[in-house]
Amino acid sequence: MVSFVGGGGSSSPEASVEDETSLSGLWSVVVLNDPVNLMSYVTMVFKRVIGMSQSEAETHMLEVHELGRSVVWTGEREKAETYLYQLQEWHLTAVLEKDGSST
Amino acid sequence: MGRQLEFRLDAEAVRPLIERTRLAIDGTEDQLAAPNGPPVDDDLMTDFWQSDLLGSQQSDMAALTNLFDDTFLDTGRARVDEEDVDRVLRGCAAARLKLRELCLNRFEDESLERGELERDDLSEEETEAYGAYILFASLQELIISQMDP
Repeated sequence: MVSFVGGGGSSSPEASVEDETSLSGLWSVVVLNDPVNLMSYVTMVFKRVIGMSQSEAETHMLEVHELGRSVVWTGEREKAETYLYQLQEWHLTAVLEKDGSST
Repeated sequence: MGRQLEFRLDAEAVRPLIERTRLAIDGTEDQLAAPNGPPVDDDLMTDFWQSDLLGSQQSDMAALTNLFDDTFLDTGRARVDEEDVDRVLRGCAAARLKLRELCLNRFEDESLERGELERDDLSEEETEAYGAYILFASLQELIISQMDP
């Protein structure tokens, strides 16, 4: 498991402040539709990774299937990255979006 | 002792499907099954993220391959131990994604989903790949329904 801990380059105060600002706030974990993974599998993954109930997981699974995407969790960046990695580890297609930035 | 799921299949029927999967996937071990990446555009982060995901994916595929080992080919019996359930489920997902991309890419999603492929329209390679695609889906369904992981 990896975790993003910094910009990996400049250590100037300006860059650090900018990085912190850009990563602060709420982040959404978004699962995108894929034509391969089974509905039962996606539902199970949501229960396992995000801790959803059966009905919550089914609702989000259907949202992914019908609308092409579903926000499955929103919160702090570090935890969002953990969920993102775990969902990708289960071979779901997932991305992070800053809350309010979706189009 | 943890739970186990044992199932029986016709080993002779399954053998070409497993072999087709191996052939299709061979040489693509350094490619993720799903089009995923890290949350930032950063070379170092990308390397770590991809490397960890690939390591996990290879472990998943190994668990799936081990299920259909020589014992299975001799007896037709395979067992999934409780501690391997997650890796086998993920291995099935990765294998299906790769088969879709590498062997079944000319077909519409809906045709694959509904099983509407015409056998006469399939090459031998596609027939085997589609058989494996269905087999791994059935295995996932069986595990999820029986072991509720």
